[in-house]
Amino acid sequence: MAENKLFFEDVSEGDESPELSLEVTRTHIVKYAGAGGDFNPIHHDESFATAIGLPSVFAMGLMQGGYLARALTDWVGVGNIKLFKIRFTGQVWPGETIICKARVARKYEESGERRIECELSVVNQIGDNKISGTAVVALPVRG
Amino acid sequence: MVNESIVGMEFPPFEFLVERGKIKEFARALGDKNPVYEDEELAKSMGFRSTPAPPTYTASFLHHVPDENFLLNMMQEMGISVATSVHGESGFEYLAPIFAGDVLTVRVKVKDFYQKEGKRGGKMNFITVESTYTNQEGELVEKDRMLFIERESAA
Repeated sequence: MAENKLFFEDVSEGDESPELSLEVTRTHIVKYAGAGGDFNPIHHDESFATAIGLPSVFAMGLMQGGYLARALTDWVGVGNIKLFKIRFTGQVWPGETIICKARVARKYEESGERRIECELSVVNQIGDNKISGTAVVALPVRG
Repeated sequence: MVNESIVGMEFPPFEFLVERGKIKEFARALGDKNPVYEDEELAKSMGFRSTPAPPTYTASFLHHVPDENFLLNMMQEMGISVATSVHGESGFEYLAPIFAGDVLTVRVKVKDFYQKEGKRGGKMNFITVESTYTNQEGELVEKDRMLFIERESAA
């Protein structure tokens, strides 16, 4: 029960997903706040954010985390991810461009499934790291 | 600052109804144009029981907490200082798929605690909070973990 998009036979260690890139605006942040339910004013209220000494509002870590998950499902298909684990290494500010991608670190079989382990990353337009992560994906076979 | 006595602390469970409209809204908020999130018939034709939830969809549990200030209250109850702590990591472990129409029971508890000396001096606490999601069939479908990092205040 999953979207068949990427097949185990077609993947090699070192392969990279297409990059998903987005110039983050306050509108993206507000849309994600509404959908995700995180109404911490630090993410949507500019006067609150500047009053506590921040340059502006900044995105929720799980917003860029969500874009990263989308980059992964766009590539491997919906319903195939077993594990998605991310570490937030830097805040994302409006005006920054985030670049999300996955890279196959390992290809193996476990528990009767054909799996890949991916290294995940989100960086900005000048290469500053925003998220490092790992995913485990079970892939279909062409048979 | 908190200490290891918080490990095992549990919070009252609550229900999370997975709504089709909220799945669509969540996917759209991430610019996800995969039609599987909007077209139930298409999802079914692909073998899904109903509209599937996107991978990080359970992060929207915040819409279903019993009290709007649940997260803040939870941190206060644990004794974590909101001013000196950050959300450092998130993990999602998928055990079975989640679909529109599912009624999930969410149980949140403190899973792990450890302390380290910070690079710039002062102690740092690492607190892992685990949320488990069980569907209406009693099947454990997902385990999420959030790591909070609390720094000793400069005072």
